[in-house]
Amino acid sequence: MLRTEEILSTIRMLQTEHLDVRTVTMGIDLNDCAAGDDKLLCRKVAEKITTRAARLVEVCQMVSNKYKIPIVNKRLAVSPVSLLLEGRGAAAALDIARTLDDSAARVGIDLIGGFTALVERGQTPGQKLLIQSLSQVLSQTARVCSSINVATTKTGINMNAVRDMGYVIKDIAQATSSQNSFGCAKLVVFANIPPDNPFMAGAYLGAGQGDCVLNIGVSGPGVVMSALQRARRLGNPTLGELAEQIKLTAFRVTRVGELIGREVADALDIPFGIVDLSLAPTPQVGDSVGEILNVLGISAIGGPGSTAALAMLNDAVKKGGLFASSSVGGLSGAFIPVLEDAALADAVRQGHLCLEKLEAMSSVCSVGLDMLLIPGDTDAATISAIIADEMAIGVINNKTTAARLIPAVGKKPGDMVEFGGLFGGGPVMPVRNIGSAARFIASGGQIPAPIRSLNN
Amino acid sequence: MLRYIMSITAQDRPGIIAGISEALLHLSGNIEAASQTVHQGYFAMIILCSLPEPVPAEELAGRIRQTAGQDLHVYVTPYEPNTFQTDPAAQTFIVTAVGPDRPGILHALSACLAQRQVNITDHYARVENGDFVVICQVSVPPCLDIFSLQADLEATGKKLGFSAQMQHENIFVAINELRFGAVR
Repeated sequence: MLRTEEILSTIRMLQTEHLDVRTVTMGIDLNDCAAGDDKLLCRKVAEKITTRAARLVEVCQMVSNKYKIPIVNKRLAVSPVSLLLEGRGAAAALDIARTLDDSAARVGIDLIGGFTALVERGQTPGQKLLIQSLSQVLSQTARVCSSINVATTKTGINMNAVRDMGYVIKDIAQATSSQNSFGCAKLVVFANIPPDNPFMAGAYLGAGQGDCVLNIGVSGPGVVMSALQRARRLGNPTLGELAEQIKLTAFRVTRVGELIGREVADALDIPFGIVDLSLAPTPQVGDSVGEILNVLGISAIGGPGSTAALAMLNDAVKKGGLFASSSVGGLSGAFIPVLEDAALADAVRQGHLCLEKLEAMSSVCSVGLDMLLIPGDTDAATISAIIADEMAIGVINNKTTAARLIPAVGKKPGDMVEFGGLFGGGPVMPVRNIGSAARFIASGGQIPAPIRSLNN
Repeated sequence: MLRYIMSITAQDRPGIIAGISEALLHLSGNIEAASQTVHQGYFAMIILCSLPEPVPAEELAGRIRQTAGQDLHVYVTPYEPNTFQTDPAAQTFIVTAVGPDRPGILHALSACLAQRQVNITDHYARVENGDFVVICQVSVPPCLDIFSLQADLEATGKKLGFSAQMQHENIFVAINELRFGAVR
């Protein structure tokens, strides 16, 4: 029999430390649904989604039961909808979005990503249509999530798109003002968007990923935190020893994800794609990345040492994950979504964590300025400039970065907003130096791709 | 060639296995399989051995005690192949239970499993600070509805004030073992 202590520690991870499979995301390519007639296109989209994903929820339930591991979310990610909009009229965007929304509902899915455009140098007519439709789509559908890639390391930053997105985000905030501008939580602006990320709102099915594929997102900030707390109780570990503990824990968590993912994929008879090992927090106590930073010895998250601690955490997570699986992909690292992490939200509330420090921290971890409430009266150019900063970090450092900003209409710094559920809640963060980048943003154009050698 | 199954229990000390094997060697016996554990200060071992000439079971036990020590409790029986065969398509699950210790726990769990013809192939239990831990490795035939067995075990636990669950062994292998195919 397996060693008893290993069995018991596995049980402990599952029962008390919040180990779960955070998401099983089925990617579905919709490009073969192309049709001249809009109605036919929507019918084909609906049919493909409801056929391919018909058993997704049921199979997840079965595998979850077999291992007593919760599969928290079942999601869908489609190929960029902008491709389906080429050559169509303005109404098509909302029609397709509604089709996605309904189809997801019919198969029991709560979020469907892929309302996506990749515009790192320019925009095609279909992409323009998609971006212009965002405030309508994100206010009139419940499940559709959108991602816009405005930069890559190879291409540079499309500052015209960045300028546009500032206005778009304001529009979405206004259109969903009665829900505290929640529409903005369903849109992510990316640099170097990954084609296989299973987490919402940025999940989409990238080109070359196949017709249908299953990607898994595991998570486990609680498991990592418990392991570190145990290590601290048993002695005086150095940072290197703590990094080792994180790595071992990340290994175990990733193995769970791959086991579950492969079984679900086999049962659905679709290819298994990747496992994304990301420490993705939830508002639940004990499921926080911020708390991990506390256990590492940072008492005020956002104060000095926070970036170094997060860098160590992110790196150790990746190393453990990489050894556990040959199919690691997506974002795979530590997330710092302020509203979804009770300790981070609290650090903002107490004034420890500011926008500038979050930006610095985003340079050493996955994602970026994620789930951030900013004052509702922040102007579009300032929003664009915040995005531009985040894109620059991604482009120069050849990593994925993203911005998911929520300028909640009518809210001021310090106001609390609660979205509830996995989206959590927290305070509105102040933004300094409002309006100071107006001319920079208005200039538009393309920030060129960076040089790859001479990289000091 | 005649084969015997013997089980030996004794207070643990160095030299027990040396004594048993010496006794069998004097009879030109060959130990074909053995498994041993030490639990709560007691040694327990089960041996399959073959002898060239038949020896009555009681005499064999006596010889072992003579050589290895009179403190040994030895039980010997001629080996007969088991008619009960595990279904080759059976899958291995792990049942775990924890909670405040009281009489009746192991009986409740094992009766629940026995009722469905689920065989316990390995088992561990201990009590620490008033709380018990039980781990059973079980062999589940393919026709069995595992979800209703899981529900039964959980309900059994609830009735007696402890928590019980059953999971496929793959999860423990995947998390703890570095072996090819651990995650298929």
